[in-house]
Amino acid sequence: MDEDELDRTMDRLAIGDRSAFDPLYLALHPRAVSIARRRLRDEALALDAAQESMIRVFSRASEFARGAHVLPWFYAVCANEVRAIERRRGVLAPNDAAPEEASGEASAEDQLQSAELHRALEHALASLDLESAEAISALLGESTKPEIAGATFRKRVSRAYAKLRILLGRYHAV
Amino acid sequence: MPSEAIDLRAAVLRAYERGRTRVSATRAVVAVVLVGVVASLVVGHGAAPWALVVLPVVFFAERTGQGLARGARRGILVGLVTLLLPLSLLRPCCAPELMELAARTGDMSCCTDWTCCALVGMLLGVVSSFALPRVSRGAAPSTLSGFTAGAMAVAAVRCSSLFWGETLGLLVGLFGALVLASTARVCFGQPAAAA
Repeated sequence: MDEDELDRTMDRLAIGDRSAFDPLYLALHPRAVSIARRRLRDEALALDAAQESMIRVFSRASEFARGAHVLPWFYAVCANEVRAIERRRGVLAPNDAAPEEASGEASAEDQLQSAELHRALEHALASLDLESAEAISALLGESTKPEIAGATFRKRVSRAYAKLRILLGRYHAV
Repeated sequence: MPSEAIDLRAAVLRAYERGRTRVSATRAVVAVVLVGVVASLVVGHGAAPWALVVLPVVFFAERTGQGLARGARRGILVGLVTLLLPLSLLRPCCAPELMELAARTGDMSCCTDWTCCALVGMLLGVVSSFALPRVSRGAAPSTLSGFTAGAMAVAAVRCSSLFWGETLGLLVGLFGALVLASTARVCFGQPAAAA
């Protein structure tokens, strides 16, 4: 299901069309699992995070604004859930990093995925205009935040993120 | 599909329904407050508690969603127009001095005449039917039901200051005209639209 169709399906679910539930569920669940797996590198925790993300997203589906894009919101919810699990894991076992990550022996598939993602991101960042690139760079902590008001910075980041998403989608189908 | 996947699907569906219930309840409360404020300003403080009639209607319509919710929202806006109807229009035969006399003598016949209210209701129903959202034939019954229920729920608030005969006249007139005129509009007058 492409992004436009996802948006349309979410619009239908938001107005109470229950027949949109299954297609949307089947389209989003693998994405949630994939994000969680990539970040957590622990199958059980990844499935937990995906489950929580799905429950959170669907419990707020009725509030979804018509015409808005599903995926940025969905990825943000997934990232929050993953971070929450990472925090809990950090509190419970500070040194309990995922075995592969701790030993530096990520699987060949993960390494390949990670390398592809990095290349795609670098290419997209290079294609961004200076202001947007600076904003993303500051957000990632790789450069100092420009001396502008917080709200202006947030708007700039939001615009930069939207541009980045388009570039990633256009050139790399990420 | 494995049982774990079915469990997760069921849990996510329950979460969706819970979310829908929460949103519907919030919207119903907002509608009640809106109608209550308008009713107390236009009709009088005594009418405000009647706004609670709107609560189950909006809750059910929003919970069900789709055409029913869309119709109910439009119906409530139309219903607000009934709150603006002046009493002199609904009760033309009952001048204030006559009402006092009726109260003293106990002869309330002039106040239970329902025909004026029925006529006003019918007129309002026919005019209101033009506010029906454009929908496809398939979605028309649910939209029409929501529209009528929303309009009737708010019109009931107007009845708080009316006598039983007038109330009956207004509601029956409005209901009949809304259903007939809206159905006619869906069947003959309105171009087909997407659901």
